[in-house]
Amino acid sequence: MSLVEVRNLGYRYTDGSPALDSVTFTLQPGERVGLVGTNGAGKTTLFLCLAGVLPVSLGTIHVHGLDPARPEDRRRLPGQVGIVFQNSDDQLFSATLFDDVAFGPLNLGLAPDEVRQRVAESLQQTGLTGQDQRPPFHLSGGAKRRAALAGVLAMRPSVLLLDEPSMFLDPQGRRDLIRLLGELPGTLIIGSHDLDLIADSCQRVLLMHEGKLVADGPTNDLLTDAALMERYGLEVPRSRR
Amino acid sequence: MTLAIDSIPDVDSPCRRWHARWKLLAIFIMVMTASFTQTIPMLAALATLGLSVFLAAQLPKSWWLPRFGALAFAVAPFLIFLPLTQTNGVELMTAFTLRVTAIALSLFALIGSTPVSMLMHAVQSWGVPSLFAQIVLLAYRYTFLIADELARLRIALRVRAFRNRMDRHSYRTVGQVTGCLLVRGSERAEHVAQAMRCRGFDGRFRTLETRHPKAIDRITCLAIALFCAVMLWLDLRRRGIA
Repeated sequence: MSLVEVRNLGYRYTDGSPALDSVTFTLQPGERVGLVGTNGAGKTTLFLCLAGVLPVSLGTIHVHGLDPARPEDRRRLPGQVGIVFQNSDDQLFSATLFDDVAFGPLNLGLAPDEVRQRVAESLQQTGLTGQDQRPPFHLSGGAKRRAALAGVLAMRPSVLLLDEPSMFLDPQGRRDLIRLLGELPGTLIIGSHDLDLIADSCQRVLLMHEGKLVADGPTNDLLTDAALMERYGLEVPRSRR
Repeated sequence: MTLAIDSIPDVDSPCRRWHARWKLLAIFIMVMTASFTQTIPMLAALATLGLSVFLAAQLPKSWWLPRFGALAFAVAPFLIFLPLTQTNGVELMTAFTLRVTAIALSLFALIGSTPVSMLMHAVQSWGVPSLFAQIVLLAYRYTFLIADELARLRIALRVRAFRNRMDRHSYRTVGQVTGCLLVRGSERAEHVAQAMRCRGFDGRFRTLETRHPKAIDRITCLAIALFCAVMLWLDLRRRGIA
């Protein structure tokens, strides 16, 4: 059985304009998938639907057997789907890094010892050990991104959604991120314009354009197809030219 | 981004060890009593009590000095103008100073010794609706954030040669900037709400504190409540009400 199953998913903004149109795909456990497309292609909207933030009005989604359209499943969804937003500042709101990373596990109702253990593990995984008492707002851009990721990893989701993870990162931060992504367990969907990052981190690519899923295939096949990339406003990544 | 919710000083003090639930109640009683008391001796006694609690918090100078500075700056006009504009101005100024001191010292002790999550948990434990606690927390947090946005917008205006003048163009620009600020604030609030929901937030603040209140926590609170009640009674007697 697929871990993520999306069938004919549609979503319209409040003004009636379509954001997603008949999106269909499935993901197997452990898959690493790049979600690419120009601005406004619908990547973030798809992520928000998968995470149960936006209501699914057309089509169906099943993540680990949970249906975000059902209120009782939606309450359990944060334990299965983790999302790291484009702007880390939106995600960091607690007074200390420890509190921020502990926020999710506490909401899952875990025992205090388990929460502390998960926080320590997540901080270690993201290279932030020893900074747990620092206010997250005072971290550098790269460290904020890792802090946001730590907060989600502490919930041990089976599917991790990363929205533009390399945005605002310097080259060193970007390299660290690629290394970190390589070490992450579980199923991963990375939504990004950074096609080199996708090429380095994912085996499969979903290409979106104007709310539609226009291509789905192995990374090397899709990202090296210059005609396809050009047709949908993208470029073949430098590392594949 | 400005540090909006400061991390509290890492000091192991009696005030820090005091259970947040009872500490919150005691300080609420102190603040309310100081607000209603009007006679100078009683206000002086309450300010002394506030000072005791503040000292028990053992907060570092680097934490409290800038806050007192900001508070002093805010109340300075009252201290200057009250004696000049009222017949019993000196008395009013003294009462005002003592009241502000009593309230500020108590509140600084509370917020300087209680992590925000624990404080919100304590607020909820007294039956305050969680929505109210969330609004207070996020309003405080985002006041600073909006101030930052405003600073960025002002820079953006300045680098495009905008100078604030008393003309139609300036008024229109200020109006647009205000609108932009509200839209950005609303978008930011929406994003944070989404981020919180994605991490399982269901409207209740949870904390790692598993400690249950001890007898000393309750007794301290009760002692402060009794002291405040006596002060309030003496105040009413002096004013001929009781």
